[in-house]
Amino acid sequence: MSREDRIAAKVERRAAKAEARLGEKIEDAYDESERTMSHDEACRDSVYSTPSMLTQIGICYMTQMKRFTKQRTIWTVLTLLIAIPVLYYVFTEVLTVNGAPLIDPHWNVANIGMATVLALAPVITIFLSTNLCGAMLPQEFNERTAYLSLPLPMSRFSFYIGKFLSGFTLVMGVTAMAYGIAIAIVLPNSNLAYTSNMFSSLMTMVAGVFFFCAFSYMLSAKSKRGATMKSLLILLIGLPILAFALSYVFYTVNMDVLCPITGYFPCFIPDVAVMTMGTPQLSMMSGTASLYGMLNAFGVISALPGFELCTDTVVVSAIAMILGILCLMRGYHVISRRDM
Amino acid sequence: MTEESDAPLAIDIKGLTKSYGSFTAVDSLDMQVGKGEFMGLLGPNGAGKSTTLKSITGLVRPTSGTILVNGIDARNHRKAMTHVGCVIETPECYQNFTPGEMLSYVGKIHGVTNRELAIRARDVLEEVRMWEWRDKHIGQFSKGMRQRVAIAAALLPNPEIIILDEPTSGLDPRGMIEVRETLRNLKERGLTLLISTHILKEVSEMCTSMTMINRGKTIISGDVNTLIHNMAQSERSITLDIRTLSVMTPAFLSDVKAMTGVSNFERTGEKSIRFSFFGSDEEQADIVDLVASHKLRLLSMNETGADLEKLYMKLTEDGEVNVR
Repeated sequence: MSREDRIAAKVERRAAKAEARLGEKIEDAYDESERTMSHDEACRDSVYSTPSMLTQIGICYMTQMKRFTKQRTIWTVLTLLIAIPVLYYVFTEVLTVNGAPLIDPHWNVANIGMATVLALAPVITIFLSTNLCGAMLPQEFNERTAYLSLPLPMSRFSFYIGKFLSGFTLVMGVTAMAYGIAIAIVLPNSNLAYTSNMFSSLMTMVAGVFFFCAFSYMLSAKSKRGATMKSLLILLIGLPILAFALSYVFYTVNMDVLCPITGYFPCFIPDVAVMTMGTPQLSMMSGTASLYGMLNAFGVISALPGFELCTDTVVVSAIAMILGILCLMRGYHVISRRDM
Repeated sequence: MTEESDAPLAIDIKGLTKSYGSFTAVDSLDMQVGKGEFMGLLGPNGAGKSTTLKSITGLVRPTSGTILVNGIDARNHRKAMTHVGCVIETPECYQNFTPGEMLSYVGKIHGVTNRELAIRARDVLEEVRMWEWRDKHIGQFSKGMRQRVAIAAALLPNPEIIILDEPTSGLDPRGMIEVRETLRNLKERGLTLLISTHILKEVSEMCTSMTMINRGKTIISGDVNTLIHNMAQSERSITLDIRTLSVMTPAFLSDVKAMTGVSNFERTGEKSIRFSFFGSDEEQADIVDLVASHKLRLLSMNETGADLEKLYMKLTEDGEVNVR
């Protein structure tokens, strides 16, 4: 079966499912409506001028956001947000280990509590970024909707950036709401809060989200099937392992001065962001739910010579933003030359 | 210079080449579409028709050559496509959108004002017979219905140039007829149309001019009727079948064979003959006079002449390019 036949079959299956879901059949019959307006009433002689590039970026942005609201995406996002307080309740009230809850809900400092509530943030932000931004462009090309959009009097740059901004906005919004939920959960139970650290953590996380979205988007620009899994594996596992391996190599060949570079890898930004507020306190292990967090909890990181996570949030955020912009530029270079 | 050669061109392609690695899809193609012209782009599968249209509309980047749309370089995509509507290779619309939402997206990109967006959307949906389904999700539509929505999107911004790649593809016979009617209406409004199609009848009935390409090269280009007429003249492809009421005499048969423009003479029965004829209309009328002079009483004279199908088959025979 050729690729076109597979796509056509997929579209037909979706139409059949939609029809079954709605319980009504749309007959491919022509209605007999005549044109109801005169030539002048229908504005058939109007001439329109193309709006500015900024306006067109905004149109693409809003159109993609509308698509998100009509897809399962928005429900996935809402589920993740609702899961935070639910998981918190389960881990503090329901699940216990040796009589003690998995998460001790009594915080002296709110920041520690927030860090604990957001322990899953590294995994979730990467998951969300890759799923949203890694699938948009391949979906357009696979479903052939790009054949409608790209011939329009709109530069590919507007199309590219408009869609990216919508994905990034959604992930950033989820991240900010997660922080808000964490604050709402933790503040009633604590006596002290360092708000500057919270703000710094949020900004660092946003920079990390920007990089993850841009990286996934860049990989998807050339991909035919989507870059979700590829970017997920690279960000969650590949880049951290590379960083650990490089720090070990630099240490072994007596190039210690280069070891700190590995702590600046952007894959560790969520860990840096969370740990800016403090180390998550979980009874089974303390640390973030990421490869770095788990290895750190089991003492592997401390045994790894040369590796040290960067704690300067400004530097790490700046690196993430710069790398994110470079990823976007690279992705645009690919998409501007992609033949349909 | 005549007025016709001074007329501005809607689409001007010079030396267009598109290569995919070692494979050349379009090879130094030249093509001009005048303003107000209705051009059909013909060719077998893999000839380079879609690649040519995609190069015009910015879906592929040409390897070399120039394309001007309304005098604007196609590389300046935003400007070049400002007054152009197109449907290339059965585009899909967003499945979860309604036709109204899709047209809103397309219209805003073109700069259709909010006030006129609803008016224009209604007008074009009525034109393609999709007004009744304006609030249904496109994902529920058949292929033909989606094609009609795509055509509506192309017509929405009142384009000066319309480029359609096999516009009747996927449509049932009634849909085909209605799309052709729509295209005729647009032609009467003075729009420039460029369609690529496999259906020769569409070209012969609707198009004023045509370009035939094969293996990425232009084979022939010009006015449809002129090309067919020239082919008929040069290829001697008119066949005359004559039937008489009386039995044809040997004298009559030898007189016919001796006439100017007669070849491939064949007696198909006692009262019927067939031959190829490439003479003028006057010489053809002389044959009728000859039948009368021999008192044979002409029953019928059928002319099966050259048509677009024969021209197409002749120029693309054996998959070889017969460049003229």
